[in-house]
Amino acid sequence: MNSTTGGPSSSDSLSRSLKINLDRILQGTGNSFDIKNRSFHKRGANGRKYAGAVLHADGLADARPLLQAIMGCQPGDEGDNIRGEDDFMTYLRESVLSDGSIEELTSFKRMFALLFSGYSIVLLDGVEKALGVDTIRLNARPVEEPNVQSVVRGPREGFTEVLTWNTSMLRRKIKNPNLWIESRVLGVQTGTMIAIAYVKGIVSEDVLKEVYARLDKIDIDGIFESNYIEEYIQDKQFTTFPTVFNTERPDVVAAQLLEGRVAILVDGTPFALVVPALFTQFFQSPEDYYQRSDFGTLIRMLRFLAFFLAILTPSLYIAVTTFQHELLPTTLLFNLASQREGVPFPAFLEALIMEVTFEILREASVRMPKTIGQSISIVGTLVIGQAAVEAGLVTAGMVIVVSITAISNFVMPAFNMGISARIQRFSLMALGASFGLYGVFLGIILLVVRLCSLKSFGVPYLSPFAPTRYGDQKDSLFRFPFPWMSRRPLSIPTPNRIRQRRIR
Amino acid sequence: MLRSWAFVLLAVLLMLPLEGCWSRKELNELGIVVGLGIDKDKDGYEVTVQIVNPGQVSTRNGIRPEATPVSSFSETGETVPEAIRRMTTLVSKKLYFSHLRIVIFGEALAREGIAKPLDYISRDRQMRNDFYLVVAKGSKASDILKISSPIDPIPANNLNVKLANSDKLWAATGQITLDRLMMDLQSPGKDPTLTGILIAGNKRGGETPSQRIEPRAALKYSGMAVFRQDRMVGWLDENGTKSLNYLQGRVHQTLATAKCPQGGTLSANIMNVKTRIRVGKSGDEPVINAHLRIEVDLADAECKIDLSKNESLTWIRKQLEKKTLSVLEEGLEQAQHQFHADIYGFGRYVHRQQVGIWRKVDDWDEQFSRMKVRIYPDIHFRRIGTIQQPIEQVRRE
Repeated sequence: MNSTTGGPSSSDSLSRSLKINLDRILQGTGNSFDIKNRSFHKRGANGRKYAGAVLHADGLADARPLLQAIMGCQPGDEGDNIRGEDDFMTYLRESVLSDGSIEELTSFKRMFALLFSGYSIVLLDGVEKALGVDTIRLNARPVEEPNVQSVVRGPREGFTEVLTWNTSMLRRKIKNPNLWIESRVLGVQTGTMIAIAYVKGIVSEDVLKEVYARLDKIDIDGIFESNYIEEYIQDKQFTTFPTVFNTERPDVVAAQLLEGRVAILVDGTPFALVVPALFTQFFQSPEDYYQRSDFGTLIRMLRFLAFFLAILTPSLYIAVTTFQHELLPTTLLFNLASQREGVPFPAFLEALIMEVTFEILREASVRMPKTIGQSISIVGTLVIGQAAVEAGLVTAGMVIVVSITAISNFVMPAFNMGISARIQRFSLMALGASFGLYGVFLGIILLVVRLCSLKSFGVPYLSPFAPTRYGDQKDSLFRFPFPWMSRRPLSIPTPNRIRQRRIR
Repeated sequence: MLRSWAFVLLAVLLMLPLEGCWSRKELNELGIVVGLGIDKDKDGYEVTVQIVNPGQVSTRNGIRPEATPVSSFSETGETVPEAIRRMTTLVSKKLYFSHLRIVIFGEALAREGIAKPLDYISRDRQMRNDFYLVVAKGSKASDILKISSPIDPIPANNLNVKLANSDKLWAATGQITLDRLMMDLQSPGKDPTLTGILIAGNKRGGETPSQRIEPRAALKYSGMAVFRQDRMVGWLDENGTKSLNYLQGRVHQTLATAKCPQGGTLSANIMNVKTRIRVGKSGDEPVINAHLRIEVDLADAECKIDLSKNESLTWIRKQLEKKTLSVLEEGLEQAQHQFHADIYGFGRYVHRQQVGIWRKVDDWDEQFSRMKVRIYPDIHFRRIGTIQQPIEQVRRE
């Protein structure tokens, strides 16, 4: 089925001579030590001798059962039919080798691709073909609990680095022939396998076509993470808001496939991409659906609140304390004014110092070996927070503002939306420090305008808020009980709108 | 695409240094004015400001006993804003008026007229509408702002809260804010009033926060200053002020006492007063009919009376009605015949309900002085408290 790659015409095709083929393979890989070559000789039924070789990449493949099978085979009744090398190869393929997937190879390109995926290659002198036998032995991280997107109640399995395991997890969630998974190979040098998964009949053909069109345009050297693809297929390059969703949870991908989305899984990373992505989606945690709906709704609202806190708190604080003092309650004004006595920096610089300090701490704690992480957090909280106030460098109020901002930032279930909030925060702070509340609100208007202009694979980013789709409000700011959500979201185009029978 | 974004970024970056942070003020650059006193000076005004010293108010740094929570500064000028500007030679911080709690007029100034200084107060951008205006009774405003307050470290704040509380619970003061005063000044059918404040005790001793449990001097609200137009003409006493609040329907709560049939006194909490004013006509003269619906609770009964009987409650009710009537009429007498100022705003009711009469009146204050006012108090008993019979009654039996 896939053996056409390369074509028979070029010098890419195999030679009849075993020696030439072997030389070409070994020289082609620079005699790399991990390419193991095992030659064999077999005698046929009519006394004819056949010379061959088995090649595999050490560590990727387990060729032992294959070799045992070839060495141990005794052509019996079928032996009479073996009249030449071609027949012997057919005999090997049909009667000797017991592995699940065997492919006939005529090109070196395909052969190398299979060799480095863990296949063993069986060469036979006098045949212009080779056999690729699936002997993959994976040395990979087992399925573990997701690290980043964890839940209290819900499935504990997360994607791994192995593409086939990831697709198998999807299959296990959606046992339906309509779950179609197509594969592509991307990356000129790495030849990375990616899989495009969708549910036929639910996914919109237009979206699917757009996904393929964008994937086809990718010309890249190597792919080591799904972000390599994300940056090629996202709608706008210059925005801090993510327009492609990513997750390491198979349950999330499965649920989103059922809403008509398309998932792109990449070999070598546990993070799958899901498109089209909406703004609200980044505030939804799988937990919303695994806990009762009232709780899910409240938590979701809390997340939106946290998002606004993360974006706005420092800028509002700066604006109010340096321009609109009359907004503060009188007693609070006295309090804040007394804190500011003896602080040398303007409020904006103060906020900037604290924010940058926090960003440094955060980055350090991510990169830090886990064993010293604890001590860093103590240094951060005690030394930076308390000592800075006592030394009179920053006010205690500012420490509170920066810490509530920092914590709110991590309430968001999608890490990349949190990054976006962090970036926006700094520009709003600058606006608040130079224009007061007026500047902050100008900034908010600009943000909203920008959000309105964004699209993800043809879907308005802010839907179902703008354009307003009333039906979708059931699952955006709120999370209605499942019996009430009888239709799929309108925001994501789908030919199949009915999710389930409406219950009266 | 990239080029246009770079352009926008550049424009924004260039904008930031251009505007230079206009009107930006860090909190520690502000002199937060909480009290403003305006007195008459020989050619112009003497303006006194009370400024908070935030470090002494907030408890965070520990209070230094030698420093005061507020400081007062006085300066003179031909106009109020001139005096305030001149104050920059005296005060290190920029005066900031948005958190003003109280404005005090000296009595001498009030008698001369408050319209001129009011112009600045209502025109200035920083002045809000949530401070009270009062008149210093028999003293200068600057003296009032120099008295320390024993409980609240900020005297001006103390005055603000005290006025709000006493108006709510005792109804012998008035919370007059700037908008109400302006409205009263401009309306021909109403004359303004402002609460009076006086220094009780020894003025000299009150200037430093004392270690004594009983302060040497304290600030006390006392009656209300009556104005005709913008000029003060005299002082209403406690009952006069109460009558003013009753007839304007501004009584939240107060207390009334009445005599018992066999000697002794009882007191009643006045809870809920609804005032309805109807203007009638007798010939060409307007007649005011004021209907007061008053709900009372029994606060105490220091006498012998059988509260289980309906007749005794009725008797108390009648007594209270009589008492209320006498309080109200006493106040009316002061306003009509002593000050000739319509502090109740009856003119407005006449304007609304008898516009024909209103149009014919030239001098409303003169008309008000000889107008007939009928008052109908209507008292409703609500609760007599957690015990039934007076302890006095039980003890004797």
